[in-house]
Amino acid sequence: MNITDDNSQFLNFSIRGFYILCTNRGTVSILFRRILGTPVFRKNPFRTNIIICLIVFILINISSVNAQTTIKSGWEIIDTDFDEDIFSVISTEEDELWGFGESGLIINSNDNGNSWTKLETIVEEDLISSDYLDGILLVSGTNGTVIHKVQDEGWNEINIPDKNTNIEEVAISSADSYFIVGSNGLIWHYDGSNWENKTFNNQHNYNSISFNDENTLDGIIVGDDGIILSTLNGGINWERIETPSLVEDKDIISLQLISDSRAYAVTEEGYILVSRGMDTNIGFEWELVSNELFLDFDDGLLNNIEVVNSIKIIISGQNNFIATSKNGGNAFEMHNLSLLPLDNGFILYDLVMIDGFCGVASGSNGTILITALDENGYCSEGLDQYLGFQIEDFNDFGQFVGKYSGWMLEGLIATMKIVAFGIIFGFLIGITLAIFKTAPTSLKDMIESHLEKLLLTTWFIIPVSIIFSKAGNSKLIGILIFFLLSLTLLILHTIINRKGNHSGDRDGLLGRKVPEQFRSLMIRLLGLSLLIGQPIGEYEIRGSLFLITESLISFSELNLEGIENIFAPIGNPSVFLDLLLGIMILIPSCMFILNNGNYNEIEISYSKNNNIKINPWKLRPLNSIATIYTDIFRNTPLIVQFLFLHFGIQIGRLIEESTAEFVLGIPILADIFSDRIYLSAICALAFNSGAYQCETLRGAIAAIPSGQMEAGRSIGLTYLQTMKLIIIPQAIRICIPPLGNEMVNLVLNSSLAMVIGYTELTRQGKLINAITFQITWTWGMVMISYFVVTWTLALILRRIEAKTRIPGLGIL
Amino acid sequence: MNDEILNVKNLSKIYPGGVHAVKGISFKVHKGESVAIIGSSGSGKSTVLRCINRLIEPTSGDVILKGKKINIPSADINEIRSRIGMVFQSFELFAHLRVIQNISLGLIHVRGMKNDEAEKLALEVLQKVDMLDRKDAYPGNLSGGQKQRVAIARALAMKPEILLFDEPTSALDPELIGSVLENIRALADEGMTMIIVTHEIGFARDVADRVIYMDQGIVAEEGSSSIIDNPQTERMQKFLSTWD
Ligand SMILES: Nc1ncnc2c1ncn2[C@@H]1O[C@H](COP(=O)(O)OP(=O)(O)OP(=O)(O)O)[C@@H](O)[C@H]1O
Ligand SMILES: [Mg+2]
Repeated sequence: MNITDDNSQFLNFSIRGFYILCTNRGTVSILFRRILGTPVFRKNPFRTNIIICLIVFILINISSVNAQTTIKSGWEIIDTDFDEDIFSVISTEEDELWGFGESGLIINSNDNGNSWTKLETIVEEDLISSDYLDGILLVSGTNGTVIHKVQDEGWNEINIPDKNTNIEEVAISSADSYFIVGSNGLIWHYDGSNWENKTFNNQHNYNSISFNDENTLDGIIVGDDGIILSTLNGGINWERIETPSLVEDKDIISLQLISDSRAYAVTEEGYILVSRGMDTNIGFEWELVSNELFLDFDDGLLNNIEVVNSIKIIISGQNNFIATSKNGGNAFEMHNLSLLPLDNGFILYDLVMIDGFCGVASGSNGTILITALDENGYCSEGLDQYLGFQIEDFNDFGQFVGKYSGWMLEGLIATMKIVAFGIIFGFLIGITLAIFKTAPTSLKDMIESHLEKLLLTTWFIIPVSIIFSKAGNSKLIGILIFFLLSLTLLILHTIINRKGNHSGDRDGLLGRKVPEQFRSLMIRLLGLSLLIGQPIGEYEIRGSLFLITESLISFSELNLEGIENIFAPIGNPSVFLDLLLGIMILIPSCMFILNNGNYNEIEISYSKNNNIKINPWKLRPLNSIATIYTDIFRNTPLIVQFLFLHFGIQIGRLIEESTAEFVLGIPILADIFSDRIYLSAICALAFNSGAYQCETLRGAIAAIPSGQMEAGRSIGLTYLQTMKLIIIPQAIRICIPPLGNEMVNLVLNSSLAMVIGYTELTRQGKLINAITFQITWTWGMVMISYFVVTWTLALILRRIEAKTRIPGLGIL
Repeated sequence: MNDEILNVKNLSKIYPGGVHAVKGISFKVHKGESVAIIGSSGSGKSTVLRCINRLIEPTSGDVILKGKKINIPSADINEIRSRIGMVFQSFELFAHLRVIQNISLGLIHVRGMKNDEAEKLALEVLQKVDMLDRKDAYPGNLSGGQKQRVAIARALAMKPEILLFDEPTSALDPELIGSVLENIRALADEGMTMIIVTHEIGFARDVADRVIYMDQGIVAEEGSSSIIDNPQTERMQKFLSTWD
């Protein structure tokens, strides 16, 4: 707590200092001058500002107190007077708890684990595993030790023929029927007087055995390399069961059979296997709960599964890992043992639940944990307890800050994470769209100078990609093939043009072009094929006519009337996209068909002496695409975009799913690409900001004198080169101030990400507020945090503007 | 003739607004020749120049550079433009680049030269226009005359087959004109093929091998530079009289 207090003092000071700085730079300047003895401020006020700003920022960052103080662990530590490791705990029907451990330790408890008594040891070996059935306790240990206790008798050792066996686990199938399993295929059965060796394959290493307590006949053994054995007759015959392929080479470490309809097993890595005994007997058919590992427990492997009922399971393992699932292993909630004052070297060995909510866990050095009671006096299930809605008293602001600056920091970092990517992607989108918007390429230019490429694309590349995607049943393959083919052709085209002497024509494709006399015909054919599509066997490609009529028919099935039709896109999005595509293709295809070799405007006379001239050849396709994009994103509220993108089209999920294969195993990327909310938040911010940045950039591009483009073109640069080398660099310099605004806006808009559940600064503020009801303090701190970020950004931008300023460009 | 560089045939241009700026003019330029185009404001001089390197598309007629038609869609216009230098009335230097970068830009990105190679060539042409000492300045920090000399250097660096000047001195103060004209004169002496649109009648007379007088979109009079002293047509006489 001392540290916390120091930190809060620090933060307090820095925030106050920062406040003064904002309001009166002179004061701070004097202060600093006095402290440092040098007039740093006057010399370079700007740089100092930045440095101070950074310092304040770092100060806020340093004083990160974990948010743990408001969470209580669901477990509590029990004082015991022994310090042997406790390897196994078990509960009996009589509400008795037993623990077994190092050097023959036997302990028991009659009050749900609150106090324990140590019994006299009868063996010296470590006791590792235990089982209970109908008043019988069976325990096994190292060096072939087996001891048991029947009803109210005392503990007795059962000698086994071979003391060198390595017993992993014991199980009682019925009274007078014990099983031990272990490495090298060890399966021995004890019938009350004799041991029988039932080993049948000494390559196996068994880890766990469990019997159905209800009928004493069903039994399962699991082991390394995905081995599962099952029995129907109380262990007389064991049968090898097929394992789900994903865990064939994994070590199944623990198992529990609780009824004839449910058994769970877990691998060291955390794959949960379930057997439901539906079509077959229990244990004869297994499946994985999920093909993915939901858990990430650092390094440590699992060692135990505790099945409370058919859906509630608790797994535990090394590194003090405990997690509970209440839905049959589909999702886990972690228990935060680090909230407890445990020794550094603490190892968790076993966990047992007395009922669904109360349990005991045992570990090294005589440590016993029991589930804590919640505020109503019930067992907590061991899950972390949030002390929500318990209004805390704070002596002063410093204490409050000390407690919650950690939360603030977390929120701030989360905000910065989406903002950083949002800015980058937004800018990329913006600049691409701005180039699209200003691109002069009209339909006429496209058809004139790229006829061959268009022909090849529509008659070769697209059909081939479609065939591949349909054959491979994956859109991705099609897209991949499309880009691959286009790229190869483009590269070939460039190489061939390079080779040819420079007076050669750049047009055409691969040095060939459609002869002058056939051009018009070819254009018409192209239009025709765009209009009616191309029949190629079963992979028919639909033309615009087909797309439009079919999608219109689909829309009519939506039963919309009149004005309701504006919602049709949502009623059937894929059909709407088809319709859009159809219309987009329809216009050029009609024009291509009607072309006569020259690209004249069309005159439409609507009255005697009024006629409008339109020239559809002047249509600029790229410009239209960019315009549609910016119109959509600038005319809808950002908050709705967040909601629509995340919950509506689930863009985060789409990205996650489509990238899962590629980022698998790449540490940072895998993390980023598995957080759906995060991905959605970035997309929404970037898409929205991109639309605005596009307009800003376009404005700046428009402000560059046309002579610059002419000058660039006159020395032989291509349009794109001129844009890239001459226009854009100047345009960006002009629009740094509005772009800066845009970026500041983006930071502020990022607070809307809270509506999709992204825990950024504002949401953290809401949480803190909900816990503490310190409204002014909370929101004040949130405001200051935002201010620090945006102000820093603004300063950096101002600096960039000053640095990149070019004499003669713009007025200072 | 074999040394014919440029052949403009029956060129005409109607602007979208309906202005018939150039009404079918034809002329030829031979290697090493410098041709001056003079004429009153609005007579279509700039339009002709821009049509030659297709900064604007001619409505009809042909532009033939070294025997190859360039105003057809399939001509590689970028490559052609890199062989036709152009110097603008308002300089049009790239404001965000230093003088030396202004010149080497085209060499690197159009000619595909290495950076140091391009720089070497750029320094050479800067030397030629006597701007070596300002090679690291930004265009915004140069005087008008200096800017125009850099612009000339930029065009020269591409080693063009023909250089087009569109009123290179009309945005300059009288005292700055001299240095620019000196540079152009030196180029002419070196045998550079040039078309110079200018209002400096005296300069045209001194430097040009041939003079074309344009009026209202047509070539009104054409001949050796002596026609300036001896105009044949009434219109040219009238035009020249306003300049004295
Ligand atoms: N982009 C344009 N759109 C429409 N009309 C234009 C355009 N550019 C020039 N014109 C018109 O074309 C005619 C010729 O213009 P041009 O610029 O070629 O004249 P000029 O001989 O260069 O004149 P100056 O000596 O003043 O530069 C003028 O009447 C002008 O108004
Ligand atoms: Mg002009």
